[in-house]
Amino acid sequence: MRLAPLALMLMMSSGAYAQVPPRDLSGVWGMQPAREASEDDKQSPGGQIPPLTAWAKTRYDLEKPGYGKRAAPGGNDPILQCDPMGFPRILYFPTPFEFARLSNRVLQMFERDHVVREIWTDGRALPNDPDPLWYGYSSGKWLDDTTFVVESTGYDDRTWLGAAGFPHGETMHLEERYQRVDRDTINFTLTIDDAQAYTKPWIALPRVFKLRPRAEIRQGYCVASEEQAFTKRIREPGALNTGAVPKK
Amino acid sequence: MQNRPSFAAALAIAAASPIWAHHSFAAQFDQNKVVILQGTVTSMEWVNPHAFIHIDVKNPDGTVTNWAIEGNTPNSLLRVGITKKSLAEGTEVAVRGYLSKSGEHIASGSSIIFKSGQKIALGSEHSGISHQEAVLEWISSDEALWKRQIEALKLDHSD
Repeated sequence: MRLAPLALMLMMSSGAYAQVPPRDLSGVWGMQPAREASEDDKQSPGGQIPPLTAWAKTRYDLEKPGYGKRAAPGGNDPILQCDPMGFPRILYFPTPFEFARLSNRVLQMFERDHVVREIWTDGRALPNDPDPLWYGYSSGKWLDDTTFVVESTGYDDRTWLGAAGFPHGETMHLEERYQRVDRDTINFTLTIDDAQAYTKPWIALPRVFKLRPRAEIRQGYCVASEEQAFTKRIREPGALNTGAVPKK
Repeated sequence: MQNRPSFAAALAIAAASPIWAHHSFAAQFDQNKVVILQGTVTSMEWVNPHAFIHIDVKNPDGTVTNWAIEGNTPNSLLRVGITKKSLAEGTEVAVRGYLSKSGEHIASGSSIIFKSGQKIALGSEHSGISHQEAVLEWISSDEALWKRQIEALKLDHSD
């Protein structure tokens, strides 16, 4: 027992541990590049994708993504027209987000489209039969001083889960875990439970978010006219794949 | 001297991994066709999903070709220090990038060097090979300063 005060002192003096504020994720965070074993992991939940239901397979076959194993020029990715990216896809888009803590909710503010997602922390239950929303209906609680768990449902099924084009149903239930392991690091896990689309829960590839203390969230709007111009200039000519080198 | 990038360089590459917004690089650009171009900024388009830097490059026969260099998103460029002032019309720059598969004078930029020697990543980095030879290398200026900086651009473009 005589060692206890010494151990406590050592813990207090380990900078990272001492500086983690309890039950607080405030700040700007960016996703760290992960070990992505599959093209379908890119800008997507990734990991072991469970078998699709017949309903999901029909949708999946109609989707023509620009990323992943089925990537092809052109395509029908909803965000090419600046349709809402939806959740969880926006989490995987390579721009930062900011957590801000209010008395009854945590705000997750994404740079992409300047989207604000409310995560209610006043103890409310998720609605049983919610009207679908682009960014769902979310409720969060702290499991302990460092682990914030968010449950959500009620997602508009026009969005894709990620850039690789996997579909989801409106009653999809997500469980996100944000574990702040030190001041600068959140270990993130996500479970997608969507019986309409997948035959068993989908455990996403674990990700890491890093604190970006000097960053500020910018206004990263998708602008339809700019997207169309880019399609004409880059996407469509590239699809011709001539491979020619311009002459001097 | 080894050609393999160091562990630290590999980390730098990982940290500067491409931030391409929802379009597949491979469909539009050829990662095996590196271009190095030196010229003068004619205009800058701060548009999403990717900004474009237009530069006039003087060809060996004296004619001038206007190239479009695709960069990262405007917000990403602002974060690494490129502003509308740093790319004002007439600014001399050199860029390294990957040629469009379309055969047009378009490249996906990996890095840009200013005359001051300041070098900034433009976002496109795909091969991880530091010493890939350029299929096109057009340098308008005869100044020794530019020649030295362009050698640096060839050798190390990952930061």
